[in-house]
Amino acid sequence: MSVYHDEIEIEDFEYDEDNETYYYPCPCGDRFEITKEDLENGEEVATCPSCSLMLKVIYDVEDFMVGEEVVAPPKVELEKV
Amino acid sequence: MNNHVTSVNFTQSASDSMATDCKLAVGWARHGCKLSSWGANSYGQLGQGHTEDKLLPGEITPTDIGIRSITGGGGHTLAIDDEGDLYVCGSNNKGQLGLGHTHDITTLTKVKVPGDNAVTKATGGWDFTFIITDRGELFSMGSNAFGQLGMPGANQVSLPTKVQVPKDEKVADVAAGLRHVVMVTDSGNVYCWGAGRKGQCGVLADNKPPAKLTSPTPVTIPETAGCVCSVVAGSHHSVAVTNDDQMYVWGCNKYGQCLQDPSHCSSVPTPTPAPPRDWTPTHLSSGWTHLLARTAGGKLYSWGRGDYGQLGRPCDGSCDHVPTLIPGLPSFQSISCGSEHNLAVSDEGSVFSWGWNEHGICGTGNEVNVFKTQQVAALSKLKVKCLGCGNGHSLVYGSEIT
Repeated sequence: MSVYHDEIEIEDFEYDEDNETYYYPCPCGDRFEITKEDLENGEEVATCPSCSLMLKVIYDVEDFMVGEEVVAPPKVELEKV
Repeated sequence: MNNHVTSVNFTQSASDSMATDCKLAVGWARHGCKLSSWGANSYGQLGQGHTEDKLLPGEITPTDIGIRSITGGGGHTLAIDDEGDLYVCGSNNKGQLGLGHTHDITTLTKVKVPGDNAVTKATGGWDFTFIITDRGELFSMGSNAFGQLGMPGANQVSLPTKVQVPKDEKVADVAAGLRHVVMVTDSGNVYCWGAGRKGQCGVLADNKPPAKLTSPTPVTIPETAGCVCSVVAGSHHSVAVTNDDQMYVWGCNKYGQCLQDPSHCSSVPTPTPAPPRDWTPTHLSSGWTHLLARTAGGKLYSWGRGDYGQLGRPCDGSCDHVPTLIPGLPSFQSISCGSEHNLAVSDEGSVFSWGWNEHGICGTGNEVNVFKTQQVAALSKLKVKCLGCGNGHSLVYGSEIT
């Protein structure tokens, strides 16, 4: 038996904007959860707070990647040659 | 209407005789009837006034109602009494209990149904509820995130709200999946709505399953001699049963729940007849990804996912798309599937359980998955009148054997 209860695409999760968490129904009645931050860090396991089952989340990590903020260089007036 | 097959819980004949029994009862406790529940209880779905899981059956506080039918959804419980009143408890975060608020409830509480009409059927989805009244009207409440309430434009609804059925036809049967709904009218017209990405709505838009449908959408059942009389829904699949014993299946087939080999076919997007078989389904129930059928002779056949013991019989690998007899059992009168477990009542009225058992859902007193159908020992002195399952909890109503 696979370590995962199932593999579910991120599109099938419900997103709660208030706590930035994705949810999917667990057979026990509670919900599998994974935070947006987890996804940004490449985490792919959604867990249920009430039971031992786990989901593998299918998603493209690049969709969630946040690059470090880079301050735009000051505009330099090029001298006309 | 559903004298042939009912989608959840128990046969019409069983419910009729039960209703007669309970009309005699003033209060079930005094007449030896009791309602028991066990399993997951995060939201109070066991109706025992608390939110602790129960590994063994515990009694729901007696009141003066007799239960005709009982079932559940993701984390909620739906009971119909012998007067046709609806009682609910459990998870209510989307208003799925129909009480006009969104607080969880840990004891069975009566729902006010518009028009005070009697409820003949209740079915629970993940976080929503559908009921049919004795006038053949359809009401829904709870989440509408995937259009599953059948009410375009609604957000979520916390009171039973009438669903506009096409041509104002009377509704014969309805079944709620995880996020979709399948319904059949008195004249045998089948409709689906809600989440559709897995093909569970049985229709195509631009040659692919629509992401969601927000109102009842006609489903074309292939030419058949019979007429669809009942419907069943799993997590992402649907079944329609005709009055000449044909089964039509559609939706997700990841575990063979649509009777096709999942290594060749991951989904069945439109209604497809089940392969020929030598038994007749008189009663069908579906878990999230497995199904259970009771035959005219009281035998049980199972198919779909089996890695937690859901099939109640040996199976090679994690699933089996071929309906196969569960051997070595007595004759059964009634069946019900939870998300990953099952309950069944023998002709003698004894409760059997098998499948996923975390939270004690199988009522064995421990959390070891049950791979072989077995009698619930803690209820050996109970003669069951009706039973049902929520996703992760179990509900049984019956009388003590004296």
